[in-house]
Amino acid sequence: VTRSTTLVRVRLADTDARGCVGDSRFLEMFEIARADAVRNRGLPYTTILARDVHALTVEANVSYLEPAREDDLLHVHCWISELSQVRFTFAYEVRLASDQALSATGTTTHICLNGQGQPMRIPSWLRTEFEHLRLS
Amino acid sequence: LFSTAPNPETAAARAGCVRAVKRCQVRCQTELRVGFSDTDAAGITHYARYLAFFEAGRVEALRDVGLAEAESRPQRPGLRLVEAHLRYRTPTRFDDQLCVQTWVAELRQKDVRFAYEIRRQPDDAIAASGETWHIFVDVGSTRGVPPPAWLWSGLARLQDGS
Repeated sequence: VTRSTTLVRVRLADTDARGCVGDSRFLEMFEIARADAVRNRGLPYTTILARDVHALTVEANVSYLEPAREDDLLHVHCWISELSQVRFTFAYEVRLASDQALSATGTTTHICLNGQGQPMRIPSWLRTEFEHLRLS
Repeated sequence: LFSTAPNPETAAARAGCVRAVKRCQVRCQTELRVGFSDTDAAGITHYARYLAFFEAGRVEALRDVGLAEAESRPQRPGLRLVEAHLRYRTPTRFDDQLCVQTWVAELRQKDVRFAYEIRRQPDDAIAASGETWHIFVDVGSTRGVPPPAWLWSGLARLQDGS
């Protein structure tokens, strides 16, 4: 098992008046990273949706460390840190590619919904892939 | 994009927020409407947008305690975000009217924790809740400094239960 890693280049649109990446942008980078993680397991989110399984975010946490700036290259590492019958949690580390300094860490927790929008157990085919992304 | 009603009497006059206002008199109430660009392909507000909604509530609360006039003061204080926690309850959609309730959950010499509850109007369902934790800094610096007395006492007024 290895962590999934996504490269993200900070764009001007990601920055705010401080010249740093805006607070909410890290949640978007987390999304890019977890989408990559499941895509690399052969399950792009569109495929999951086509099987009538929707993921809903129920919780998100971010710790802000070293600010990232325009044109910085970031390594976004992502893995599954918790997995139950109904909930799964992705953990993230965002590092500056230049010196590997930690820019942010965080987690997002999700549940699965069926086509009617009702909560459901994580289907076994999805669980299997999550197990491959799991690090404790 | 948003209007604000920091005055509890004004806020209490609006049916949606009455229950919360009764429970606590010091919450700053900021109204905003979900924009189309806030939504994603699932038809609901994207989860990252709620952090911007928290910010809208916090900025209005800080305006209420006089941070907007701080440009003319000798010390320009800033609040550096170090942690954010968000819990998502009820999905919201384009054009939903939201009320962001903001208050100070914890105030110390070096840092402050803001708490938020976003309620959908008019049914008052909790859309999201959360906290942001900030360190007092001088604008343009990342080093922590104690906040000026006027800011500290202003934030103390926003403290829950005070």
